[in-house]
Amino acid sequence: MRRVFALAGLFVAVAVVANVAASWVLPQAIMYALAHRLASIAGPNTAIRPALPDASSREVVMPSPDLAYVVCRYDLSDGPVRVDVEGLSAPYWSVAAYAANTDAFFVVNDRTASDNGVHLLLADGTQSAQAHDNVRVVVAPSRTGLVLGRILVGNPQEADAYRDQQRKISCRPAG
Amino acid sequence: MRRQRRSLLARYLVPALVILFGLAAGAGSAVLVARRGSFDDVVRVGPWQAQLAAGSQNAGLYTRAHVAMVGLLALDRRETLYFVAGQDDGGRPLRGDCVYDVSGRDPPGRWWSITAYGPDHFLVDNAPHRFSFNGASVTHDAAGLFHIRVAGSAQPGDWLPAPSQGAFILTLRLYNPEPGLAAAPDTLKAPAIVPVGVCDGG
Repeated sequence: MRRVFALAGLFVAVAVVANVAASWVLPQAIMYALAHRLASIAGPNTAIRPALPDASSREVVMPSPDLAYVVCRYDLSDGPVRVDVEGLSAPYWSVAAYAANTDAFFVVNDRTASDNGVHLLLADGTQSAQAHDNVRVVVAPSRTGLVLGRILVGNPQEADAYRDQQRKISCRPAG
Repeated sequence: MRRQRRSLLARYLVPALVILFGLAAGAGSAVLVARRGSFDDVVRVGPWQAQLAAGSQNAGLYTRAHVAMVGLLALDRRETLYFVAGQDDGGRPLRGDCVYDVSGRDPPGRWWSITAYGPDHFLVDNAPHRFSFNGASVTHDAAGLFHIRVAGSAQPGDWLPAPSQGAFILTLRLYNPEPGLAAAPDTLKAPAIVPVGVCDGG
């Protein structure tokens, strides 16, 4: 009987530890899987400008059909990364940065941006990066992650217009 | 000799199997909890539910896992509020073979939309290629209310296609909500979701 209780206790202890560990790993695994899918489209630190979401869009759950997205898989292994928004004109736009564990650690939108647009330098805590002129340094909590631009599309029928606006968001190595 | 072998089996194999089953149960339950939802920082307004820690660096372990599964890359509540409904006002699951009137006043914020998703959380394929309505595209009646008909079959007026049968969900997005609502999302005057006519099998 004592052995049965001991085995039951072992089962519960292992299950609890596995549950906590799996819950911690899950967001990172999901981000890793997304990064892997994006890697088949473009390399790191490069803007990807997909078509407007529709029923065939299966990369990320619950895409908004009213938003044109710009995605950049950032990787700070070789140094800081520049993210720029210039001349973008839309009823609403925002740029957000997500860590490898899915946390949104930075966001700016058309109302909080300056008149000169947005100029960011993404860097990890160990990289020396100085703010200058209108460039703002954003310290990323993880070496890899995602930058996601959202642009509200007034009229989805105006395909050329939203493509033009997507090109106003860029992502590249800073070096 | 045989007794020795049996004793070794009981001593090592059984605990090993218990550990294996424990790992499977732990990992499986983590995925189940992440899929179904977490219990902290959730606001409910009628059938609409918002996970307030979505996108937040302060999200707990289980909230972060849940948001990663059903709302990856969400913005935090100061930028966007996301309300999701999988039931009507009467608590019945939303089904594509029923017709719903989703009505209300424009929520207070910079821009809002209501989008239909299938049970897999992806957009629903439909002939008119319409997936959402927003504050600019919806029609308002004389009282300033919008009425969106959500159904798997074509409807007059502002029709938002749902799957022709089976479950679906609605997401209300509110970008840059007014400060009062961002601070107290439970004060949202949420759109009503009411079945129109008979909904068999409900």
